[in-house]
Amino acid sequence: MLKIWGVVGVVALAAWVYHLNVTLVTAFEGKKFTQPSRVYGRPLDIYDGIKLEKDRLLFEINRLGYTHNSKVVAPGEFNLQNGRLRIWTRGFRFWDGQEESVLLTMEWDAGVVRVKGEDGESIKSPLRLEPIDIGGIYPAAIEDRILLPYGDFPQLAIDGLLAVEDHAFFDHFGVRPTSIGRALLANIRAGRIVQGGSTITQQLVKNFFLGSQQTLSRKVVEALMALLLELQYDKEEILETYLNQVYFGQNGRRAFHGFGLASQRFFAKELKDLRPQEMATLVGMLKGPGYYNPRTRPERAQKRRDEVLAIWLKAGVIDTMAYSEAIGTPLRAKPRAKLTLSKYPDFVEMVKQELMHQYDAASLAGSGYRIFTTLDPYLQEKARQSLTDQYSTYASRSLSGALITLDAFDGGILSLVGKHLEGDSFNRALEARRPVGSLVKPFVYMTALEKGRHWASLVSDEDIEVTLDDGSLWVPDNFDKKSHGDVMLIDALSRSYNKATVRLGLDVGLSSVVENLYKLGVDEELRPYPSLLLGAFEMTPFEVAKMYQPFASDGFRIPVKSILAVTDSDGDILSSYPLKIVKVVSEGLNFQVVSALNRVVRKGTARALSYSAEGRFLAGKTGTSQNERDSWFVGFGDKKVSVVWLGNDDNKSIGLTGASGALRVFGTYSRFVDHGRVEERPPKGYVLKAIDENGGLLPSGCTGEVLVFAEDVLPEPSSQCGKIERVINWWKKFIP
Amino acid sequence: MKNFFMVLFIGLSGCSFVEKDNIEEVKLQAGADYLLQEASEAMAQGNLKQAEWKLERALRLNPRHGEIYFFLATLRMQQNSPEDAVEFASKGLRFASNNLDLQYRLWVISAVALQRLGDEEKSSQARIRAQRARQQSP
Repeated sequence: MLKIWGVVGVVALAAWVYHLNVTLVTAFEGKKFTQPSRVYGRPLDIYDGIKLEKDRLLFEINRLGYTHNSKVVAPGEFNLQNGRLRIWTRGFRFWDGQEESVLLTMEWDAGVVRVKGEDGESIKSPLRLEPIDIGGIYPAAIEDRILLPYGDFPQLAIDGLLAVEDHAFFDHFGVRPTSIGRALLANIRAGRIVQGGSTITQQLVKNFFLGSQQTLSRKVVEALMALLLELQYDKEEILETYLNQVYFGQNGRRAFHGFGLASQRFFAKELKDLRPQEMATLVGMLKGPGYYNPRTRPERAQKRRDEVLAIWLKAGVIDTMAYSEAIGTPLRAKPRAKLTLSKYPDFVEMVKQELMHQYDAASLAGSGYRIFTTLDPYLQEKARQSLTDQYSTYASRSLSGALITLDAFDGGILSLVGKHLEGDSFNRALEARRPVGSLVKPFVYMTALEKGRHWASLVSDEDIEVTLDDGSLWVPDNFDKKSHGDVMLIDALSRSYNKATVRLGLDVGLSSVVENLYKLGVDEELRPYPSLLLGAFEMTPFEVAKMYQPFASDGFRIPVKSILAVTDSDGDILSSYPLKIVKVVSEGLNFQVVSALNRVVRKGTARALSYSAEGRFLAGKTGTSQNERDSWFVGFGDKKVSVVWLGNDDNKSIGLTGASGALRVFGTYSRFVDHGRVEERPPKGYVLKAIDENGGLLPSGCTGEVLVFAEDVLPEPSSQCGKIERVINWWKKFIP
Repeated sequence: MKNFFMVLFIGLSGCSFVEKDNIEEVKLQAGADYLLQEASEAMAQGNLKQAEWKLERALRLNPRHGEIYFFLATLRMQQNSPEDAVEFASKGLRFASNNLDLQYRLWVISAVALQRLGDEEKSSQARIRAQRARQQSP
């Protein structure tokens, strides 16, 4: 009988051990590689001769957490003195290769930066600073870490950890009976748990599976699992997992794990660049990450760090010289930045949505992908600031807004603001579908030019009635409620006359206008109702930016992108998004439209922009929807195109026109952001000609409004000079 | 076929990188020129992806650099995308108004790409433009 029970017992024990082992292996394999994906902004290139403002660079190195030091002695440090900047970059693995860590000297000289290396030689070949980490893609329970392979842990981290936590790690088999015995004795004496006696392996098992509760049965399971773990994995693997798993604190829903992230979080450095006193601070924190937090409990943390340094000295981890250099030094933990899951949720969420088409959610949240994006964090912050300034100017109104900027050369989204703050679920830049108003007008006029009109062609702005398909009558009106008689197309566009635009649009054909809208980038189906000519259809700010981008890009449509490349956690490329361009508007036609939109800025509804030196070289269009519910402005040069929208989430009137609202936001924004300037020389086959006030082509030598014309589509010649000459000639009569 | 484009590329790209008549531009282009150099080396070694990344980076540094578009057009030919090559050559011409040598190369690559696409008429027009640019070249 006893024998049978014995056999049953052994079988049950074996089954239990087997079960434990399966649980252990499954969980260990699954858990040890979980890390969120990281999203990075566009990196800053640096080379000798680059045009780069000092403030722009300081913004970047500040966001990257560089430390100002009187002497630059390590990566991640900089010094700015007498206009000379010394910086030791950290180096970074990009999708297209490794950027090495270098010591640079930078001096500003007549608008450009002279960049020299450590050897005093000019740095001609561009190098990149690390990209700014703009957010992460996290699993539901947010365990954040920067996963490092065993080989990337500096010896000091390994030796330093083992000296304090488990000096016999490489000699035991998961448990140390002597330590357990010693701890047991101490605990019995004290009548409570005062000593753990756990090895690194046991601690790892406890962290992974068992939680902090300490009972005898738990201890037995812990010891057994530690043995099983050691049987199946080698020491390096266990230690690597421990170093990546160990807990370093919490911020809201986000838990910080591993030495890699702790190093960045507390010292803004890579682990390999930590000094002994910094590494000792981290090792010291393991005893109680909250209790020994160097930021919130600096005195305790320093005391604990010095204890660790003393242990290291005794264990031979550091020598006397290193010890005396480190002991007693200030902690120098980085002040805590406002920690949110993403500093730029508007953009990062869009990136995540885009990636979801390609990758499954679990891989995105747990495989440590590195996502390199087009976002320029500097522009993003200026965009948000420009919108916020406008909100405070009109504090009494409940305003919402969006701003998006595209790179005119590669279609990259440089900034995208559409949320008020993190947690705001409505991304207006991507989701607020609003009537575009006059923003559609350039496409009507472009169609007219394409069909043989020129800018001096006349169109009537008298009253117009349109009978719609259902028999009802549509009577559009101008913003000023007036009619302006026969007007030149150029004036009708730059003054945004509605009646003239409707008449012209119907004349050239609604379907042709719609076709052009599709060609330039509208994806949504448009119904060719006459009211479409005045923008009575809805688009998001993002779609508007897409639609205008070809104008800024010489008539080439460039697919909009937010991601440059994705790599796995080892840096191997998973996907990249090559540049593609498609010509959709001929060079000459594009030039004509852009020059007219430049006139909108110089003389039309956006002339407020022309008061700044650079503003007059931009092109733009204002837009206002009915009852001033939406205020739009699109502005561009040859480098960037930006769209600003202001409105109300509940669609109530905001009492602002495109010029009094969105244009002002753009005005503030463009003071910081160089949109480039529009081309002023017409392409081959196009000429600049002076015209009189009736649109007649003036004889050469006359002074008048200068417009661009196709050489073979010119206005009728005018027999005499224009108004200015007539005034001069009148005065000449009195001069002998 | 790939070798043909390589020969064409090496032959054509032997010309100078920068517009000689615009010293100010040359100074500003320094950074992008280095990346162009690296891209051409990568192309010569058959590392097309690396060349593509370098060129796109160069374009971000100096988007009005006509040479970059010539290289992009050549790269697309090697990647078997003549449609894209035509587009890049066309865009490059916008930035080549003062550089007949570059105009010539862009028209040549355009002619070759159009021929690959079976558009004989446009291809021969491009050839004529190439010849014209060459004849005007000092």
